[in-house]
Amino acid sequence: MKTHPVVLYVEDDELSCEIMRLLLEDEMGLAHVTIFPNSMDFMGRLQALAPQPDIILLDIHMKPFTGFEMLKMLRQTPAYQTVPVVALTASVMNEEIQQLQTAGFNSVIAKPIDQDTFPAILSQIMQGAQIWHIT
Amino acid sequence: MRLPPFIRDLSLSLKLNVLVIIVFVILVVLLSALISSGVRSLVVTFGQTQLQEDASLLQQHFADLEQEVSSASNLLTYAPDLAAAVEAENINRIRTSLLLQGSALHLDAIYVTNGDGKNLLSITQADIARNPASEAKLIALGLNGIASTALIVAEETNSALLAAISPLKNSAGRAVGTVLVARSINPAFMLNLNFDRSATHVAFIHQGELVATDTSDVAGFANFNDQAARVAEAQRGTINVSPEFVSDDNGLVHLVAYAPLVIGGETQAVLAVRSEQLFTLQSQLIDSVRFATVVVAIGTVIGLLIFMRASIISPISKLNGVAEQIASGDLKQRVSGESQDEIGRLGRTFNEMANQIEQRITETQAAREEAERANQVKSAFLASMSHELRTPLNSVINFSKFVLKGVMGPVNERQEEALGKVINSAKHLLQLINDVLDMSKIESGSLSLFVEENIDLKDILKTVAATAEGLLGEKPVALQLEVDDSLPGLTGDRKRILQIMLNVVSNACKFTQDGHIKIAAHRQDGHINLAVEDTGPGIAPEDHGAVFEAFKQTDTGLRQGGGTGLGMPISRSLAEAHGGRLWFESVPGSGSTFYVELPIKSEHLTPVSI
Repeated sequence: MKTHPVVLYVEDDELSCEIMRLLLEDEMGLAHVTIFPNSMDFMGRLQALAPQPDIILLDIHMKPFTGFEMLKMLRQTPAYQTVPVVALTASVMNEEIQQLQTAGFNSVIAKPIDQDTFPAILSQIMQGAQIWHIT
Repeated sequence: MRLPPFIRDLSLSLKLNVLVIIVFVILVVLLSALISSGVRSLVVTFGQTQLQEDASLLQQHFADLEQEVSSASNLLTYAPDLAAAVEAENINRIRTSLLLQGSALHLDAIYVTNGDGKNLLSITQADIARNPASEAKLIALGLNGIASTALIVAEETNSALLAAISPLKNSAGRAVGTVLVARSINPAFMLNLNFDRSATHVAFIHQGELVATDTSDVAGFANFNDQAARVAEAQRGTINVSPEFVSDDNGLVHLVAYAPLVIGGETQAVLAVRSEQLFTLQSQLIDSVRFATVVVAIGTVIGLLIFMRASIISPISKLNGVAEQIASGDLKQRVSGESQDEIGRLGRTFNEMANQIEQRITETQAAREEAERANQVKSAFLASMSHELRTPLNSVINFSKFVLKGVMGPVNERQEEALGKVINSAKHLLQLINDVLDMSKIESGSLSLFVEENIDLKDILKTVAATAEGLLGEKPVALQLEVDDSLPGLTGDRKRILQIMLNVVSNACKFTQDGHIKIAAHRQDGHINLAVEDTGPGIAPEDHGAVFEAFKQTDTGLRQGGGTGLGMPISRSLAEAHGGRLWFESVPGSGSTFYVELPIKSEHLTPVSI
């Protein structure tokens, strides 16, 4: 496993983007962090990335494509079928988590993000763990 | 009254039909018996009157015949030359004279005597009855100038003659002889007597013996059981009729009248008159009456059945059908029918009831739909609220933490303290959001557990103890953990069990200022019993109810500050969702013990596949 994974985060809330950048780059010291501020031409922009992401974090309530739609696109593309896709969302009611699970996300991370546990959780997910409990 | 089941369970229609038929069979039998007896007595009465008249008429006929014989005798005395021929005792002249005069008189016997009573000439049929004594007596009357009639009976042959004597006088008016004529009382005579009564038969009875009848059916007049008495009665001079039908030797049944016959001024014999048709008439009448009764009864029964079907059975069947349709969910069905009787009223009452049921069900459905819609709106609102609150909290908490960590530059002690307060408040707010969401899920019944198997309770309690240590800080409170080594793995929602225990233990930490807090876990049958014992202020009895009431805090709790007032109600609901329970015991002033009992395995809980 890579100790410095390549991360893609798709999020339209500016503050969330800023927190994630601080967390991933400043706190965790990751070199390859890409943030898409919207889901426009998601697949095109993803395929143009180099290096390709090891893990993809998706916000759910987005435009023009929702997190669910982006997940579907990923899973329909052979190259991204095994990449861990994590829902990073503030919608964490039981039913919502059930929907994420059914749709085929690998894990869920709830907002507000707990920056103390985040690195460990990310690492577990990279190792194939599925995490559905929220803090 | 209780009917036996085999009758009670028959259909109403069958029961009513059978009842009507039974009642009518009884009525028909009674009515027919009554009418039959009426007809019988009517026919007897009518028959008696009829026979009385017939007998009277036949008596008259007999008198007419007697008169005829008498006239014949008298007429012969006027035969030309007869008196002279008798005086001369010239037989040939007598015969010639008689033949001239008597050929058309239908007589069976003519005897001519001279003035001494000596027989000069007899013109007779072969088997004529003879009784010399009776004949002599009659001749003696004739010789004395008296015309008379008499019955001459030959006892040995049981035959009889109706005879008449007339004196034969010469031109000087002196009786020179007699002319005795007779008709044999034989079947021909009887037929003559009864010439116009085809329906009745007649018999001539002399001294109780049958002499002649107008029918070959002699047995039909023999041995009626009351014949002797009736004949004796008739001999006394009155016509009498048997009061009932009587059987003859042939077994046939008749009504018989007996009429006296007066010959020569004396009752000589009795005429028996019987009707052939009366009994047949009676039988036919009874048959007709029975037939008519049965026809009328069947007609009435059919009419009654049709009426019952139309007015009772059919409406009840329809009502039943509609009730079944309503019971199966077709609420729009109603009973039709305008009748003002009890069944009509029942139908209308039923319709009113159905209207009310339909209205209530419609209202209930509308209310339920409304409640479901409201619940959906509430759920959507809560989900949206959670999302909208968590997003800014993400910024509040994380930026504060980055600042606190010095990511944004150096931070002094006071700033650190203030940032810590911001973070704590934000976390409290987050807890409040989580609790409110939990509470609303519990209230709407939509709480679902992420059930796992083999949960290590010891692990959870260690986490709880670590948190408790942090919460107690510098307070002089000893934290004790007492866990059975042999605790089995639990089935349930790990996070929720942790939530329950954190809640109970953090409450104990909050309220206990000194002394100890003991967390114990023991196996007890199919359950694990968790106890959290503290030496806090305890809970006053009047506050016991408030502990599990949402958004309620005891006075002590309010003084302590913090908390949402939702922790305990949520924890208890979570324990119950696991098939367990949560309760407490408390002595005010010396502390409280909270108990959580969880089943090791519960049929409510099925692990979800993750």
